[in-house]
Amino acid sequence: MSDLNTIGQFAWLIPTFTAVAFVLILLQIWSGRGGRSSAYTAIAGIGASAVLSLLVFVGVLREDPEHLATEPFMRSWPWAPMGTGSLDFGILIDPLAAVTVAMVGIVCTMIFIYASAYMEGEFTAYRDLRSGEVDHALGAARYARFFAYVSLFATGMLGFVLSSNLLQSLVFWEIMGLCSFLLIGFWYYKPQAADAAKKAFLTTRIGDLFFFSGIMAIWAVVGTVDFVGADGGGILQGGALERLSALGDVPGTVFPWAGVIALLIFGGAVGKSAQFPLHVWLPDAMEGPTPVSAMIHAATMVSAGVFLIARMYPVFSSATPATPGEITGGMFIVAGIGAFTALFAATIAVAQYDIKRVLAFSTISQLGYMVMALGIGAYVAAVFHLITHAFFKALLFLGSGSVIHGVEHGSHHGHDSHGHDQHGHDPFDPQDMRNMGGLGSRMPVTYVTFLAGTLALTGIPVFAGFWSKDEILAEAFHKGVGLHISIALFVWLAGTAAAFLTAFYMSRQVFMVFSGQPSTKAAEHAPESAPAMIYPLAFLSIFAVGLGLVGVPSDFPWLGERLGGNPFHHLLGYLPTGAHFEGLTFDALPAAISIGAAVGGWALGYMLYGKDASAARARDPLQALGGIWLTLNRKYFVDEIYDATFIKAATSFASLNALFDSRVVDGAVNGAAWSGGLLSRINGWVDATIVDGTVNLVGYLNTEGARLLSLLQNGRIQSYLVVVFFGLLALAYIVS
Amino acid sequence: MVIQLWWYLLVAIGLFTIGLFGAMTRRNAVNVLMGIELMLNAVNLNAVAFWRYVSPTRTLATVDAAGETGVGEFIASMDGQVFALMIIALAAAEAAVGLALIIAIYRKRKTVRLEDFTLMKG
Amino acid sequence: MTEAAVFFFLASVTLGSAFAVVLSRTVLVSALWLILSFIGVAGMYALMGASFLAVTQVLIYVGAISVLLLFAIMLTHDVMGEQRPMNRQWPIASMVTFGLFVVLGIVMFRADWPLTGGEVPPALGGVIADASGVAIPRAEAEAPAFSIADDIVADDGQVTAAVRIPGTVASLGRSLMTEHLLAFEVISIVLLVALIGAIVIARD
Repeated sequence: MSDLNTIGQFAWLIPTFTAVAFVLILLQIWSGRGGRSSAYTAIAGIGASAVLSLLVFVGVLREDPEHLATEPFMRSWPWAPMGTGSLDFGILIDPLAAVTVAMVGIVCTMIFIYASAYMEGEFTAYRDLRSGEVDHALGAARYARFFAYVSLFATGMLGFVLSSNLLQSLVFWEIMGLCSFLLIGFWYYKPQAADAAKKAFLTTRIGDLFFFSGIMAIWAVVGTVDFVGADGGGILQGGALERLSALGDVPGTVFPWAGVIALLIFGGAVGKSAQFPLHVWLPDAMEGPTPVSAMIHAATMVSAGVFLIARMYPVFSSATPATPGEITGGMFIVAGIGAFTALFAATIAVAQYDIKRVLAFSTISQLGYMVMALGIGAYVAAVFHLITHAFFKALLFLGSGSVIHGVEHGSHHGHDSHGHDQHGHDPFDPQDMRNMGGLGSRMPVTYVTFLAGTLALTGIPVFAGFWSKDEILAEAFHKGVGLHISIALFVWLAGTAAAFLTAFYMSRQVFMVFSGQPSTKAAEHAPESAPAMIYPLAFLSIFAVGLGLVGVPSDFPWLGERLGGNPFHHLLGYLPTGAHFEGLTFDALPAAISIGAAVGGWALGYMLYGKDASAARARDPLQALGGIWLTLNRKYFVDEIYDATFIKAATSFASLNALFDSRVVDGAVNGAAWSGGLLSRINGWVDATIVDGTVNLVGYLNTEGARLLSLLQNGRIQSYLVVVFFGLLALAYIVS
Repeated sequence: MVIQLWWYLLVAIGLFTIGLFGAMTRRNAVNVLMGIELMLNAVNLNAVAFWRYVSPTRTLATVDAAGETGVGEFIASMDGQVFALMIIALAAAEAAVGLALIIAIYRKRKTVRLEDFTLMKG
Repeated sequence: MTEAAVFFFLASVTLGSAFAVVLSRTVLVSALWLILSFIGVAGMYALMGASFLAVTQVLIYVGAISVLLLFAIMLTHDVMGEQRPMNRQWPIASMVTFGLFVVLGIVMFRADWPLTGGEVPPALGGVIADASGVAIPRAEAEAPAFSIADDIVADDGQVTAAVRIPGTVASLGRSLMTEHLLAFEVISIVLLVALIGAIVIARD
């Protein structure tokens, strides 16, 4: 059974199981039978997918990696026959797809099991509007709907990973985007959740536009969108890459056209994997239920962008197909954006209070690691980090969900004596780390597993994250210091600094949440979570601790030879072009530096937060940094800048000056109330000088622009008809 | 003078643009519908002209009235005409629904002037 | 020569009445011109040998759709003309449509149409020859033994099999009921849906 040619025939079932589960749950909802059975349906679906994907993975292990990379297992069915060829729907199994699909299967199964307990609250969350009683039927339907969405999402991710061509990838990619929208906005009656869903959808849409343009460009140049063709005609193979590099450079620059096309694809990955400057949606996406955060916004969906770059890696490096480690023009930008994002997000994570938001920025930062690793040609290291990160970040998110769950229960317990509600302006927030503390003794399993995930994330030796992160940094060090490639040096410096910050903000989180005395009654009464939530945590923590051992450098002192070489590198070391990545010889210097950074981060975290956790929760020691702290806490004001530029420019063309004014001032006032008196003073100054001036200018531009644009948007169908055909003429003029 | 393909195509283009002009400019909704019908007719004319001039052919034996036998190239495919038939059916459906809409709107608003229908104004 | 003359006559009728449809002030007059334009198109169908389509055009367009339009004009009490039949965007619309005319014309002349130049079979078929090229009586030929065969002429030009040339109408029917059966069924559902929809929408 574990022969790839046998099991591969059934690989199309991997995404199909979850799709069937999705349909079944919909039928359950429509027939009024949604509820706990829907969760079991979903778990059965993803469980079957996971088992099958593991079988496929075992089948792949038995093949020769080089052979499988250059001639992957493929099956495809014609989808849209056209002219000379056809667009196909198919599956492609190579080492990259097999590793990723196995990871997605395992992680999603754990998250589904966890969610079946976590979402219990839905059953009693809704009240009938007339009678005011708990509406059990609605609650059960909502609970079932959650599992319908996540099943569809799993279909999207599994189908995306197994796609045999770019267009099919886009289809599943968009399914994921849709599910992300639905799940972030799952509690759509909360305005923040509805806004976050819209924000995520629209922001990733910007990236998708680039992705789609890239697909069309590749189609125009190569004439196919298949990754691998039967006769070597796929876009990842020699012929296509030669045609791409034969396009030459953009006139007047040294930048190759192939790099432009690769960057279009990269644009999609920037949106999906929340890289700067499209990272803004991911922190807000934490409005969704925590299992969603774990699954979509930490472990799997955001990895899709990185997976896309890894999948398209030959195109990214197409200018020099013979030496896969070389950095081409397109990859230079990829590395730069990745490194910047890794450091940028890590600094923001330092100053957040929301337990999930810290993890969200940590995710952005770690995705930055993967992207920069791909940018400097550390392909294997990037995929390795993708896999390990998925496990321990899912663990961390599920652990944070367990914490939130516990604190929420605790707050119900001690609700009467709770002081915050009387003030009215500050409703109790079970996700705020300042409301926690002392949970280590109250939620022991959560604590231990969370700690395991944290150690893995911070790159403490032996834990999974150490090996993958260290491999990235070692490659960057090797290229930056040894070969004097400036971007690699930047990548290494940013990566090391981010590693230090990662250790710092994660230790800060651990100390604030778990140590000292509880800050609130809610934390004092927080119970350990249900078994269905704890077992997935325990299972995932096994991976967080041990998974890194599959990628230990073969010449690592003592450990390397005992683990039989570097099986992960052996499996992933080949590209579809046949190019091979040589494993680096182990270098103690970068390893020592990155361990030093991690330990230093922990030490600083202990000094500031660990010694006296209760005092640190009451007043964050970092607030001593003043303006810097504020900037970090407000995420470099990127959201505000976008609001003031792109968002306003788009939405307020038709609106009036007054609306703009009230929005900005209101937003500023809310923000001020949230972050205390300091901010309100600054805001007062900003209001008086900058905002007023901006408002007047923007208002003037708005009214003028609105007047011009409203001529177009007059609601008359015939005017639209004229515009449409005018556009057609313009298009004819352009293409002729 | 033998009739050429492009004669028909030119008539079709003319009919299409005239219909489009009507659809763009007439104030009366019924008139706009007429313009659309003209455009559909232009498309049909195109389909039939292509059927007549670029269809696949096959060789068949012929016998004329005087009993003389011969060989002729005959059009073998009916695809172009099928296209036109389908479009005629669709046009009938479109006209029925479109006119029903116009009547329904007229009942509500007492007008069929398109410029009065600006609910989509942004 | 006569065919060309007929063509020019039909083309001028079609395009001229189309202009009248668009330009005439009264909706009712527009509708009447529209009928004439439809008839011109039907004539061109007949000229091309698409006899069934020509008849259908007269039945559906001239018969049904035009009457429907007239009904709608009556029901909306807008029989009489008005001062300004066109909206204010007519200058730009005329420029755009003229531009489109030019673009489409250029495309048409530039394109290399793969002309095949086959003859149109007679409307009702019935030109019959046997293997030796001898004419066969019509009644005999309609027996099932005479099927349509593609390969009846050998390479040396000899007629090798008996055949009955199918007429266009018969071919069209056969085509609709075989290779285009799905489209045929779907379009009938579309018609049904449109019928019900129109009734529902227009009902008081």
